[in-house]
Amino acid sequence: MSQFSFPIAPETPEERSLRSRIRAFLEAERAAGGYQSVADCWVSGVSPAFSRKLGAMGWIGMTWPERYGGQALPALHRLVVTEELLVAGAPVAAHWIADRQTGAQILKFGTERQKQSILPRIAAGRCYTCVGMSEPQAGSDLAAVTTKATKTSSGWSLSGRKIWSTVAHISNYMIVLARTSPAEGKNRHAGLSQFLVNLTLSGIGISGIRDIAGHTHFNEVVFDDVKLTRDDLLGEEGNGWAQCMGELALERSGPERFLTTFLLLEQALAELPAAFPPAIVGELIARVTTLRIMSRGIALRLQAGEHPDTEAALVKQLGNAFEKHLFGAVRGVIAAYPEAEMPAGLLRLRDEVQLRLPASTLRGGTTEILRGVIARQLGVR
Amino acid sequence: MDATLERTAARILADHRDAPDAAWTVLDENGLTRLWVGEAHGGFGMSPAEGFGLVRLAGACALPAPIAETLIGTWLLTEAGLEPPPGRTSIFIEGWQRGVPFGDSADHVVHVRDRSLSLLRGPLAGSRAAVGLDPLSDAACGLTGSVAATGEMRHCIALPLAALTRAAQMCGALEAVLALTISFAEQRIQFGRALTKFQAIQHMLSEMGAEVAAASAALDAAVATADYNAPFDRQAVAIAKFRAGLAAGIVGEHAHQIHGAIGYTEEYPLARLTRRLWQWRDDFGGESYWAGELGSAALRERTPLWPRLAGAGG
Ligand SMILES: Cc1cc2nc3c(=O)[nH]c(=O)nc-3n(C[C@H](O)[C@H](O)[C@H](O)COP(=O)(O)OP(=O)(O)OC[C@H]3O[C@@H](n4cnc5c(N)ncnc54)[C@H](O)[C@@H]3O)c2cc1C
Repeated sequence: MSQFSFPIAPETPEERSLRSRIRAFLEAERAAGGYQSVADCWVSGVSPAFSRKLGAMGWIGMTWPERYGGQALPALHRLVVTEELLVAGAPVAAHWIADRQTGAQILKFGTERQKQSILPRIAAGRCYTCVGMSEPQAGSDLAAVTTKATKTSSGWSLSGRKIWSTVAHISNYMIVLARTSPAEGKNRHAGLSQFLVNLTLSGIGISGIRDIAGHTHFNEVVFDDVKLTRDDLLGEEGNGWAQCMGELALERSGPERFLTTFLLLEQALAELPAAFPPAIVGELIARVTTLRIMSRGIALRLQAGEHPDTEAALVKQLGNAFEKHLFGAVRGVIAAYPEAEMPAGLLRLRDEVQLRLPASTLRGGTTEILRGVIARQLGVR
Repeated sequence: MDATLERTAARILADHRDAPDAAWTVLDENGLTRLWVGEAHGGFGMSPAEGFGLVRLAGACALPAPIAETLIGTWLLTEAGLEPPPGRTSIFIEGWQRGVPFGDSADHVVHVRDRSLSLLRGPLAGSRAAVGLDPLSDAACGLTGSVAATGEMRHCIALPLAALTRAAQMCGALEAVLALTISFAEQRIQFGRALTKFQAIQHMLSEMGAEVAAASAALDAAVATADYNAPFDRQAVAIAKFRAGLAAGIVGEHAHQIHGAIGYTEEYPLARLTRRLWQWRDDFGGESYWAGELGSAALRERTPLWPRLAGAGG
């Protein structure tokens, strides 16, 4: 009778020992000045040097086959690593998208040559990628993309404009969703294809866009008659929509949808331990633990080749709401005191999180769109 | 839950939806009221999950019969090394209840104070405030009755067992409220369209779906830790009871909003479920109680929170 399924998987001893190792590594790195914790680190903390260190530890692409630089480990091992990196606020933005979704897309749809040439570099923390879905006129209405790939004698010519592309400015590749043939009547999902585009090709212009905190992490990317080979088509021509949707389950179900602000809670608890009413802390524990249970269930289902797309939307939506709730709770505790009495570092982190928070319910699908996805699964849309 | 067991239970509950006494009797005849009786006392050696599955199904019908109480009572008796008697059993956990649920029809009542247990003979005097067949409050049946047996339990399990059982009942009721509300919204026409065509309604339904899913995931995780031979994982139980209570508030509120006036009537089946949800969320510790327990435990240690939540080692 249940509409949604989240298999329950208790942590294994291997996961616990992996957790110890990554914690020890992160402790040592932080102590040695290898990084400073930041909120929303999977978007805000770009450090190729740190990504290379993680790659050397074997913590990127860890679920991929060994012949492509991976270690064929269970999906839950990757989840342990991503949770720890997020809670530590480690600078993982450079490789995050490549590890999370682009690698999986290449593994699933790429040519053997692409797999051999790109995946090991991603796993080494040396190759970064970004998502080219949104366009100025195609936000929530993704099927409205107008970036176009036209067949040529040697492959394709790509023209159009992508926007909000996170980490495009440091990326080697972008997966671009483009129109390869007109929509079939009302079916706008038809005629779309994905391309794996090398961002060093000529005809590509990447310009940064400053966010409300003044940081540049997303970009506008313009394609002007960019020459692509036949192999640059990722997967099947005309199957781009379905491929994109598959990618979204990876994009939406992970702990980056509920652990990007956890370090604010930790710091506030450490600095103001007596100021927190227990029930407020308990509520946060209960909510975040439930999200972890759900996220683990999805990881297991994805690993089994299933399509928990709605469950992923559900975790993202509940996770985003949790993060806003966490911020409200911590802010409320701090706001009970004159600011002059509060630790400066804590206030800085609070303000940083405030400036990041509005993005969480927009990127990767807005709250309203996710609610629509869930409603459709419930059969009411 | 075991598929055959689930089918049997679901069929019995569906066949006797409006006849709680008959439902109780058939469930009892099929041994389903004794899922938590230990093997030493003639039980079937079923995993705890089976009983939680049954109360979840019964919760979905808001069946006004002491299924959950009987199951809890038999587990507690087994834990104290006592033979669970046949018939309807209710429970009274000292400090947590103002009265005995279904006390006026109970053959026995299991009375627990910390680890001490006494088995009292029922039925108890008093009667429940009710709407139709449904109990409105359990407070009317005070604890009386002569003592038939006493024992000591190995662990203090009464509160977490009762709280987790309520969480399971709530998850069943939550799913039922969602299903009822969806089918209502599909059929109700206003402005020439079904309510489901309105995005505001879709969004309320999707929020309900998300809450049901979250409550259910937290419940499943806690049930997976239940073990007849160990005390409960208090943290897992606290999370499950908290999450179900949180969901009950949101789901109940949206369900009534979507139903409009018809949902506010005694006759329409929605309130049978929401009345139960509102009571169950407060039984055996409400959200604040369990969140408070979780938070106090975390704050006491003065260590970072995350390592408490995500265990490492080895
Ligand atoms: C920090 C950040 C990073 C991002 N990174 C990437 C990236 O790497 N790659 C990429 O491709 N994109 C990226 N995006 C873009 C993101 O996917 C879009 O912002 C998102 O899909 C919404 O599109 P939009 O911003 O154009 O808003 P719009 O679609 O114009 O929506 C504006 C508002 O209208 C609401 N709305 C829209 N349609 C409906 C509807 N049918 N019903 C009800 N309400 C509706 C929305 O929910 C929202 O509240 C990023 C965005 C942000 C903020």
